[in-house]
Amino acid sequence: MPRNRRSSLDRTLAALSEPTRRRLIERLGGGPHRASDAWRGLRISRPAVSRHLRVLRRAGLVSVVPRGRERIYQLAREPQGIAEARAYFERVGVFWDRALDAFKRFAEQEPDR
Amino acid sequence: MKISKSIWVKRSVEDSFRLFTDQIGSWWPLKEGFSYAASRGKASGIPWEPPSGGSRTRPRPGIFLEARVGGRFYERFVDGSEYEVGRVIACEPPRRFVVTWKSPDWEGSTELEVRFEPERAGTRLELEHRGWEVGPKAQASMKNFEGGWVTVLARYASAA
Repeated sequence: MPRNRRSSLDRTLAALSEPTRRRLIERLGGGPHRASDAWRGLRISRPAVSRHLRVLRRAGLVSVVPRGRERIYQLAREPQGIAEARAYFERVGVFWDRALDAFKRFAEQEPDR
Repeated sequence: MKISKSIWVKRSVEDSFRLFTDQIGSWWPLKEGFSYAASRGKASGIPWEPPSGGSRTRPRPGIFLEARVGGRFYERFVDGSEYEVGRVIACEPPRRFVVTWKSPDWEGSTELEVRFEPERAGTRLELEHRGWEVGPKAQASMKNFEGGWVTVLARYASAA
């Protein structure tokens, strides 16, 4: 499928399908990072990190703001692809886990009879 | 081929059984896509409301489980039509029930057994959904019912 035909869900799931990119996401979850810090400790080359960050940015998961001569990477606010992915996983992913959670929530707040 | 799930609930066995069966419409997440409405081309029902809130002229939409042997397990849509998911084939309140379960596209019925055991001033609920070997379409659905997806999205969502 050509890239421009892919939905934000496709791009999001593809972006998150790679372990290094998930580590980057988790790292940025701790707060914004300078590009020069984002790869520290990841044991991969800086160009490879740049490529991964680009994939994350194109998927809309990560945003970049220039600050002086630095580029600051941070998690995007409310990415469309994440909203779609969450809805997707909720639809298909965890039927009984979610149904039982719903039951537990209801049962424990329902007054005694 | 079976799915096994377990959860502890801070309620008595009697309450848990009643809430799970008679009041399934109060907690079953129909609104969140746990409904056959879309696959039947229907509008999804509202969650079950106490009688004061219901319409007198038309049966309430929602999901219903009649906790007796031979009882029906079905969803009623907004237009009043129904989809029967299955029938209760064993019922021993408040300890267990077994109901058959067939999604529209499955080759046959699966079986859902739910057991309720007292544990730590509450109830241990053991769920077993079995019989997926009825056909390839049912088997394809099994992993959706089973769950077990990676939680990276949840982690991401909480970090974002």
